Amino acid sequence: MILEGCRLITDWLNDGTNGVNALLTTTPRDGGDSQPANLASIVDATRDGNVARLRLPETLPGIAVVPLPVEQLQPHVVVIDCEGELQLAIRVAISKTATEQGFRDSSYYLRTIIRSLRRFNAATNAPSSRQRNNIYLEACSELRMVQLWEATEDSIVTGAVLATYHVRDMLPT
Amino acid sequence: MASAYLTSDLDAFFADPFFSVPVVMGAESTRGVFDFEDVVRQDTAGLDVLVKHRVLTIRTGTLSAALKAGATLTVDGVGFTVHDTNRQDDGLLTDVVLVT
Repeated sequence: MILEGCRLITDWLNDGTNGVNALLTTTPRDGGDSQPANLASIVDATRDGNVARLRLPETLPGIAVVPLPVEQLQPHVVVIDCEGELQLAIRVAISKTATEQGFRDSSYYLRTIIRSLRRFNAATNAPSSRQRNNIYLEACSELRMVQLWEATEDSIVTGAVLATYHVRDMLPT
Repeated sequence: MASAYLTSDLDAFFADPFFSVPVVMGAESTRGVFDFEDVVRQDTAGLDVLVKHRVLTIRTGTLSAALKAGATLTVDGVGFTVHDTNRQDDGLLTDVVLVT
């Protein structure tokens, strides 16, 4: 359930049509702001060792999809599937000596992540793209964008979109 | 107010080439103690971030007021950008936070 959720979202964010780099060109920007660089890596904790060890991707700017607790799993045995709430942190990180530029670019990345996820969540999106190994991301119940964070002693700026998905295991036994 | 003893001790400390390294900012120069370590911080999402903690400690006042965020300098020949400055303890020392 954790693996499937991470990989479904990561693959979507990497998608050539609906992914973050693909949508970055059309994310509205203030005049004078150049387009942020394409993300060098969009990886998750099941396929990237650094992210699995709770580190940022090796190459920045990058996105790391990290699983948070899965809650409210149904323990009942009388139903044929098992549903719960899967939480994912979609972290974005950039290294910029000019902190304000890091904030600026991170803000555009986060907005673009939301745009990409809204396409993933759309009813018009084929269910097959939301399903993997009989795990189905049925609906997104919450999206939150956390405050950007800057390391005072480094040039790193991080931010995150916290997404909660209603997830269904269609083969729980 | 710093005593003359403390001032002379600091002079001797920063003059010691085993502890200190040359620092050059434009036409100004001094010596400082450079520390570099990786430290784990938590960001606002509550997740870990490994950051590079580079701090140069100099005697306060040995570089001019141009020493501020955005200034560039070299430490032992390596270029850095100043990210922050913080006076320490009695104000005789200044920690200069550096980034590349």
